Amino acid sequence: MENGTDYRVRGRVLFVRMPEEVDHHSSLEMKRQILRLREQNPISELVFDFSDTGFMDSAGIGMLLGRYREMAAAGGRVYVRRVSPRVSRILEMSGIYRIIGDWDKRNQEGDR
Amino acid sequence: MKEKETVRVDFESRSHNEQFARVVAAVFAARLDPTVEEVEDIKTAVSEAVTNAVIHGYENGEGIVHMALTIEGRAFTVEIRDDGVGIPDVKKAMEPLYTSKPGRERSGMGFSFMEAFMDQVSVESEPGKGTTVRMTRQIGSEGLL
Repeated sequence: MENGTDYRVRGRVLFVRMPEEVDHHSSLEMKRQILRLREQNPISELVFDFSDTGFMDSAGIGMLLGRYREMAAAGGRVYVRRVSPRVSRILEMSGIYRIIGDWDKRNQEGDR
Repeated sequence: MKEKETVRVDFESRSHNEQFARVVAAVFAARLDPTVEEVEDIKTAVSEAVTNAVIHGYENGEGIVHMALTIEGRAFTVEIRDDGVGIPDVKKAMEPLYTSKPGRERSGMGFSFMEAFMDQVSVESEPGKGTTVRMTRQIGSEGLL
């Protein structure tokens, strides 16, 4: 929509470049798009790229948890990457790092 | 600055006004020369309260959200009020991870975030009448948190 979110499918990985502000409003659209792309493509890994994101509230956490549940139910996984200190603080407060890992760290460690 | 200043904004209960509300709050709070972190904390808390009004207070329907911002001394106060359905059990609603809408992708962390980012949070609610959330943050008092 108007918020500059970008979606790319590479193989079985869906990369979502998040908008500048992740809130209830922008999360609604992301949820719809991800659902649509998963219907059209065999996605086993979902990667949220926070390169452009400076703001996120608990609605963003809710959206991540919702996607995690869907992906986990289908045997898939969810990752985040390039989180700013602010977004990282929100992610830490939510405890979501216990179930969602960092994409770049995973690839460095090479546990494919 | 000794005197008290207040601005009031009423806006329709629509999800894109969540951003509008937090930006207005941030601009007003800027009069106290807050740090970047203090601004981000205020924006997050305001976003949580307004989102609650939109989703829970008015249940994604029509309504007006009332925001009052006050500066007094170094204290920044924001009040978010809706005339929506109200909360039957405020104490329960404020419990971490509690959500009244489990199927709706709510994290249940809204009030926890408000309490984490503001010094004081109070909630008054009456079923059928609406809900008022009042939050205060002392600006320029690092170490309080």
